[in-house]
Parts: sequence; structure tokens; C-alpha cells
Amino acid sequence: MLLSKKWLEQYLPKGIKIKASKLRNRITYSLAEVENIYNVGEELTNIVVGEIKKIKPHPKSDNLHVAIVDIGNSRKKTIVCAAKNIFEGAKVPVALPGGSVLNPEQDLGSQDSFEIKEIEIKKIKSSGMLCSQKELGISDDHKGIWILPDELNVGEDFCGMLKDTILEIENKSLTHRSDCFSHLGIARELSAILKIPFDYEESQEILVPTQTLPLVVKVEDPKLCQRYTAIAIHGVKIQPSPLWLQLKLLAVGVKPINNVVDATNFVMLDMGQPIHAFDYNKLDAPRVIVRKAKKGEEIRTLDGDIRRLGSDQLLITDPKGPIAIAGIMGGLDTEVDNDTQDIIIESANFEMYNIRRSTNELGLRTEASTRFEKGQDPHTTLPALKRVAELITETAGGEIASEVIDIYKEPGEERQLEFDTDDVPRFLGIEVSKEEVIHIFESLHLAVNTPEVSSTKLSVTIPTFRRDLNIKEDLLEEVARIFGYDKFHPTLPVRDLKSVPKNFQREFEKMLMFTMSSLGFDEIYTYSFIGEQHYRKTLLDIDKCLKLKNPLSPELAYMRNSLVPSILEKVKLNLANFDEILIYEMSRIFFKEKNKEGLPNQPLNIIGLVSKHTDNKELYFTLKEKVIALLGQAGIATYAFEKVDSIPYFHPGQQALITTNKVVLGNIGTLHPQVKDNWNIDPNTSLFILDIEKLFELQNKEKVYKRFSKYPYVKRDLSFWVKKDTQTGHLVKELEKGNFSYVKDIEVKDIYEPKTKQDEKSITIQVILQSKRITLSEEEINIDISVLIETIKKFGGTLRKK
Amino acid sequence: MTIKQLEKITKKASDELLQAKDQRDLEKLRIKYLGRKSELTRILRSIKNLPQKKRPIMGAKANEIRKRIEDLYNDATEKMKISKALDKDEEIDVTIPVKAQAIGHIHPITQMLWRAEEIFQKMGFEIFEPFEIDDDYHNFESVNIPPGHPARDLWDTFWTEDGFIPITHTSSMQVRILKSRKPPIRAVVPGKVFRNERTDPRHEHTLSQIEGIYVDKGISLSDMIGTLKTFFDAFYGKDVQVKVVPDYFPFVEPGNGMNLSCVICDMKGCRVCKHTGWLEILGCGMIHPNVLREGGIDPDVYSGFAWGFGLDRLVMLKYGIEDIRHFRNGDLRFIRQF
Repeated sequence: MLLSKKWLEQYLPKGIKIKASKLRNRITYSLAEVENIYNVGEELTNIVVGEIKKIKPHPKSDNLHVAIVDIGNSRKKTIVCAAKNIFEGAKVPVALPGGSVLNPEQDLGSQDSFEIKEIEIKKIKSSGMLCSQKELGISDDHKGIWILPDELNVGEDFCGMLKDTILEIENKSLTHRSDCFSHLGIARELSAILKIPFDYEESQEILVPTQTLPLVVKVEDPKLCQRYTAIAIHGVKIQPSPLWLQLKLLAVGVKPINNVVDATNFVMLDMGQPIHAFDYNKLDAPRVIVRKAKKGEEIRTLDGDIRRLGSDQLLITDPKGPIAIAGIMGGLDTEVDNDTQDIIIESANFEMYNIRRSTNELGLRTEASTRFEKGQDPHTTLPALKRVAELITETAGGEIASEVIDIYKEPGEERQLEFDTDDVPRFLGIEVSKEEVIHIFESLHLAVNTPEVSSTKLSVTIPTFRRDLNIKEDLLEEVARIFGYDKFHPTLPVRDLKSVPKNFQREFEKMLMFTMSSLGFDEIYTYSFIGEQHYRKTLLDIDKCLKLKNPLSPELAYMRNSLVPSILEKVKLNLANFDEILIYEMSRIFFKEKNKEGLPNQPLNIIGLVSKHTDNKELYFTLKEKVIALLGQAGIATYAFEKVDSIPYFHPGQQALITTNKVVLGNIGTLHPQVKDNWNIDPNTSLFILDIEKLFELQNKEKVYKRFSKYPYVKRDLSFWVKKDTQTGHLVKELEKGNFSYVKDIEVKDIYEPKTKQDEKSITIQVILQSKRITLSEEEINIDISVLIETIKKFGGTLRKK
Repeated sequence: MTIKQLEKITKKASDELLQAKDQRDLEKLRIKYLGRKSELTRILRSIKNLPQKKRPIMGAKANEIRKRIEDLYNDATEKMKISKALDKDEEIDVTIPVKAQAIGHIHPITQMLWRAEEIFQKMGFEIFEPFEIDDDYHNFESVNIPPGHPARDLWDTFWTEDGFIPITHTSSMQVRILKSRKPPIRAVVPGKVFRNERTDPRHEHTLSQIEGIYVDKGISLSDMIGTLKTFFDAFYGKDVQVKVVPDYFPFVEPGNGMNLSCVICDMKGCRVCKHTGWLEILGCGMIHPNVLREGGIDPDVYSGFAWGFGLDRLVMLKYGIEDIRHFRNGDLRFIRQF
């Protein structure tokens, strides 16, 4: 929201000029952040009002004109100009040689100035420049020369009229302060913040009709339209607004249109109350009905779009149909245009929730809806109507042609709030005297009643324009901000010595991440959103993913239920810069199925990926070693890798489930050649996934100490032939189950698949034997070894001769 | 043959052994002084020719000398081994540049998050993780943002087709925490949040945030300022200045913003703080009584404050990162710098 300092100062005692820096500082500390502040007109010099007397074509150029401009005191200047909108008799701003204007190529608010010199343009001497609004820093309009209202005197200094300071305030931090979306409201705040009087009085003049135009208003839904006021004016003359009005609008970024529309905009920016003007004669009949839309009803709004309406939207209608969407935008068919003579002015109060819903449904947000959806004060409705009626009759002529219509069935009332000044130190931690508290409230126009002089309790009357003050904490905020947050002193709460309950899962996650890092994996973050393309490339089905109703793009339209597609997307990018990569991500994935809380189930997963120019087998085992290390750190003592072929993104013959005691923890495998192709990944790529919460749940939390043997261990290698499709992991698991006395460990040393043997492979295992009590003898060793050989035979294995 | 002669041999052997440069020198000296053809061996052999009377003395002396030279030789050999006794061909060029052993890098936001968590834990805050997809009640209603309220426009919200919300803030956990604990309640919630916003160098739809609450009897807004200042002092390892300004968030009343003295320039004015000396870092305020009540806490007995800030911005400020999108595009050229 833009605010004009000049405008604000109108409501403060005459002669008070607030320093811009102080204004910024105090508003920031006590109301809302001032995002930007800039001076308008400061650098302009030597610019006067001129009148174009004659326009001739430039003899050497088709695009240029030569204008003879009267600049007063019977001085005339010859000025070469390219703009097409000038005409003889037009009043225009003229920058004289030696004067400065702003660079129109730069952004408004940060324009540099440059000096105007007498120059020759294609052999014709040009003594000055006709200015656009942008060259004067007043708006972004640089399409043509600014044509000024006729009322201005030729030769008048123009720079002074433009001088102002513009403040830009963050709308969001004023969401609760509908009263502050106006100059009057901000000026009222300033008077409290700066401790200066507020100089504004509502006009008490009564509008008396001197003409008669019939006008009837009916409000069918008083819940959605708490108050509706209207008045008819006869015989207006539509023309550009006077300069003061145009300048006020331009200063805060609103484009002047004509004297009627400008007056409605002015009152909105001044008082916060949106106003709408209809062309009286364009209505089907002078009967205004405020009602909800009928399903399928349509209106062509002022912006030219046809809007299809839903049944909850509130409309302003005539007997034939909609003439405006209440509180949002008027209809094009009843628009005030250059031929308009009679008008109806509307000032109404609409229910905020309905307006907000309608703007969302229609995707149409306007200055009016921004104000209505925050809730307007119904006590401003009528004064605003009077104000705008006065302004229109003043600038557009015309006569009041109807009584003031005011439909206000349930007037809003002022609220009473109880306040205890003892709450100030307790809740805010500051010492403010009772008198000071009362003074703060009164400066904000809150009436204070002190039942007992000695009591700390106050009764505070909340004016209707302060819709945000409903509980005592709201009043505490008023004390805090007007007192000034810069005067608070930091203190620390008193706290006991109790230790903080640890979040063990969080610690566990952190430990796993450290482990991943020591295993060489770089941590990456990717988006939780994913697209259909990503899933298709990964041979996964997107239908099982939660879909967003309002995604940013098709690539981000779903919530992922697998970390695989996102990480694959990052492989090619990185292989362009690195020969091999090891990356991982820890993140939640999402399922349509609900968890205990009734929310989409959202387990935390970790995915690790290695991509490297090596054969798949080596790659798989490199990764498997790392996974086992990770499982070890996670406290998963027993695990198995179970061969499967059902995971679509893996090579069907190179994938396994990672389990512990039959519970699936995750999976591991090398990428399916098709997936690799789809993602344009050249080197072989292997990845694993583990479910963090399952790991956490199933981990062995305590380490178990066993006394170690003082006796030497013995190694024995055994080589044997087995069928080629024997799953080595299974075999070893079976071997480990043997009834041994001394076998401590069995390790696979080598697997040999000679080309000469089609159906067999050779496995070499290394057996470690050790006793806790004795040094093993050959006989003792052989007893265990023969148990192993028995099992091998059961598997159809035959021992290889040494 | 005199004792003097023997002493002379010892002296000479000792001097030469000290000057030996390598194993070969030592070997030569061993042969020279202890070998079969050495002077000492000759002397020892010739002892038998001495008169009976002199023999024991000379014998003892000669053997002592031999022992001494042997010791000197052994010492020299030992020293040589320790110092540079290895052969030339075992030498390695220790200056050859190599790549570092691969240790993975932890994402800068994770690192920053851990740092923040650690400080908050030391200050007595418990850590909770949020649900990343939550319902309207927890994300909005329970924190005083009823349906249709204009404050909903403060966040650009994603919705799933079945009406859930990828959380817009970790405040979604507030009421759950309030319900599950008894005052004093101190908790922080680090987590991923989502905003329906187009990305550019300064905007992201996915952000990392940490928020916290403190509820107890007699907690004041000044306590909030002090607690957060204490945190940031520890976080930056220096005395930071804080500036509290009014702001609006529906779940707090009063609602505030907090600015920190620019940690880049220490308020001297720099590009990062736009020469204001201040950085806008977080939103905070006293927990709204409606939120306390929703969490089963009596606002007439207890009060508390809440705050939230984004990690992305802190990391960007710290390292001068120019584009927020680096964090989530998985580019190792970025990640490997941290």
C-alpha cells in the first residue's frame, strides 16, 4: 500500500512537517514495516505549465513535430517533440533549458535526473522538453506527454505541486487492521504514535435533494450486506479531474480516469470505504436489489471479462440482472462514461468472509475487495457516501437528486473490554504507569472508564473502526507498540534444572546421516513434489500418489511416494561434472493410506545411490557393503538380502529386499537398463532405500558385551561346487545354523564360475574357528568342518579337491 | 704396543663412525676397526706374544676397547637406521598431490539446523518433528486461523485433492505439543514447509523452518526478546543486537517481527542488510489465548511466546549464497563446498 505524506499531513495539525526518516522509523516500530520510502519531485527543477499554440511537422523527420509553446509572460518556446498525443491548445508540463527531469528508462522510485539543454534536433533548435508523467516521476506512464487540466495557468511553476514523500507499507502486516487501509486511518495512528493531535472532523452537512430521480434499494441478504447507502445525482459533466485530485491519485499509484471515478477512488483511499458509481440511465429500472447470485448468472465486469457466478456470490442487481459483483467490481454495462449525466453512488458494507470467498472463486482481487475482505466499519459507510457526493457535485457539477438511502437493520455497536494494568508488567515485562496506559488508549481513540481511582482495572470502549480489538491481549499489544518496542529490555524466564527429554529418533537420524557421510555419500535435498513424467521414466505408477489441487506445474503436481524418481533426476546433472557420484537423501514420502492420526501415511526414508563406470556386480556389492555398514550402525544385528524381481526400477535379476527377521526394511538393486536409458544415465547405477522409522523401531538399542577368547583362532578354507542358481546368501545362512562347537564366522572368499561348467559354480568360504577354553587341535577342528561339509552336501554341493 | 695406542684407535674409530654417511660407510668402518684384518684384531692376536705379566692387563684392555668400538658401531648403526638409514630407492615423493579420501558432505541447511537444535536443546527445548502433510485443523484452525479468514492469504497454500495441506509452517505442531506436555513447555519444531510460490533466486516453494514455543506461568514478551537474543548470541558466537517491531500473525497477540543486527557487517552497513544495519530474521509473538485454549492450557494462568524462522535465509546470509534454488537442486558442485 502506498501512502502520500502530504495527504497524511492534512489530518495532522497545520504546520506539522514530519521528517521522512522519523516517519519511517516510528511507523516501523509501532505499526507495520515501511518497506520503501521515496521522494517525488525533489530533483525536478525549472518545469512550468505551458500551452501548445501551434504544432508543425518536422521538415526532416516524419516522427517528430515542432511545437510552439506558450510558457507565460508572453514568452514562447520552440520544442521538438516525438509524442503523438499532443494537440494545439493542450496544457502540458514544459521543462525549460537548465531544468531537470527524470530518466524514463529507469524504475519509478529510483530514477536519476538529467538536465535539459537547448539542442538542435535535425537542424531545428529545441528549447526545452514536453514531459511525460514518468519523466516527472509521478507514474509509470511514458506513452505520451502529460496533458494537464485546463484550469492551470500558463507559466505556473509545476515542480512544487509534485513534491511529496511516498511511503510503501507491507499490506500483510496490516491484515488485521482494516482501518489502516486509508490515509485517514494511518493519520489517526500517526497522531497516537507521534503524540500529536488528530485533526479531522466528519462533515455534518446534510445532503438535500434539489432534483428528483426515483431510486429504490432492496437488500435481500442483510447478513452479507450489513449496510447499504446510496444517492442519485443528476446532471454531472464527465471530464478530467482537477489537478489536485489527479495528483493525489497518481501519488499513490492510481490512474486518474474522470471526475466521477476519481472521486470514488479518492474517498476509498482517504477513508478506506470502497465506493461505486453506476450510470443511472443504464439501469433497467432505478431499483437496486442486493442479492445472492443465481447459479449460472453472468456479468461482464469493468475489466471486460465475462464472469460466471456461483450461488454464494453477492450481487448488486437491477430488475434485469447483475450490475456489479458486490464489493469486488462493477459491471461494464452500467459503467460511468463520457456521456453519463445521472449517476447512482453506492457506499455499502459487505461481509468480509463472503467477499474473500468470492474473490478466490473468481480469481479477481481489487482495491475494493482487499478492503472489504478485512472487514470495514459500518459507521464509515454513510460519511463516505456524503463525502463522495460532495466531491462529485464540486468537481463534476450536478445536483443531488434523491434522499440518502440508508439500509442499516442491525447497527454495529461499540464494545466494552475489561483491562487490568497489572497485566502489563506480567505479560509484557515492561513498567508502564496506569496514567500512561490510559493516555495510550485515549490517543488511539479508545474511551477509558476507571471505575475506581485506586483500582488497576479499566473499562475500555472500542470504537467500531477497530475491529481487531476483541480481547485483553489485543489491548496489551496496543500498549506495547505505542509504548514502543525499542524501549523493551530483554529478560530471561526463570527455568528449572530438569533435563530436556531427548528426541531419540532425531538423534538416530543424525547418527545415520553422519554414517552416510563417512561412507562417502553427499547429502542432497530434492522436492517432495513430483510429476507424472518422472514416474513414467522410473517405471512407477503415479496414480498411487497424492495429487495436488493447485500445483505450480505438471512436474510438481504430486506428492512423491518414492524417493527414487527425484534422485534419478539429479544423476545426469552431476555426472556432467563428476566421474562418479555417491549421493543420498533423507526425506518423508507420502501415501494415500492414513496413519494413526488420520493423515496420509508419511514414513521417513533414506535413499542412497552410487553411479560409476564399473560393472553392475561390483557396483552392487560396493553398495551392499555400505548398506551393511549402515545397518550395523543402526543396530540391526540380523539382516538378510532376499532376491526378488518385482521392483520395477531395478534390473529384474539384480534386486533384493533388505529384511530383518522377515520385516522388510527396504530394497537394493541396480538400475533397470530401461530406467537408465529413460533418465539418460550412462554409467551403471545402483541404489538402496531404507525406512528410517522401521530401523529405529527394530534396532538393538543396547550393545551386548561378550568376553573374548584368549586362545588363537584357526582359519580353514573350503571350496565346493554347487548349482549355478544357488543363492550364496541362503547357503551361508544354512551353514551358520550348523551344530558347531567352535565355528565363529563363515565368510565367502570367492565365487568362481568357469566357462567350462555350464550349471555349476565354485564357492570358497573361509571358516574361523576358536575356543574360549583351549587351543584347538586338528581333531576338534575337523569335527566342525565335517558338519559344514554335511550341510554343503545337503545343498547338492561337492567338495573341490585341493 | 701401548695402551695409548689402543686409546688412539678408539678415538679414531669413534670420530669416523660419527661421520659415516650411510650403511656402506659403516660397513667399511666395521671391517676397518673390527674386521679380521683390523689393527685391533692384530693387536689382540699379538697379545699372546707379550710377556706373561703384561698379558692380562693388555688383554683386558684390548677386549674392553674392542667392546667399546663394537658399542660405538652398534650405536652408529642404530642411529643410522632411525635417521636415514633406508636405501634411496625406498624414497617416495611425498609432495605428489592427491585427492582427499571421499567423505560425504552434509547439506548446509542440515548443518545449520543441527547447530540451532543443539543450542535450543541446551537451553532446555525439546525437539519435535512435524507431519509434512497435515490437515486444515492443525495447519490453520487450531492456530487461530478459521476457514475464510483473510489471514489465510498470508500463506500461499498447496492443497491435495483430498483436502490435506503440505504444511505452510511448522506451527501445525503447536496444539499437539501443548496437549502432550504440561507447563513449563519448551519445544522447537524443525521441518520442511511448503508455499505455493513460483521459484526465483529469492523465492522457493519448499523451505526449511524452525519454530519454537515456550509456555509457563508469568512468561512475558520481554522474556521472548531475551530468549531469542540468547539463542542468536550462541548461534553466531557474538553479541547480536535485536530489534522488535510489530507484525501480524494470527496465532500470536501481540505479533512481532524480530530483526538482528547485521551479522555480516556488525551494523556498519553492507549490501546484505541494504545498509540498514539490520536483518529481518524471524516472526514471533505471545501465543494467542485461543491457541493456548485449543491446546488445553488456561491462558489466565499461563502465557507463552512462539517464534519461527527460516533456515534457508540464514545459510544464504552466512555464505553469501545468491540463489535459494541451489539448496534443492541436488548439484554436488554446490553441496561439496560445505
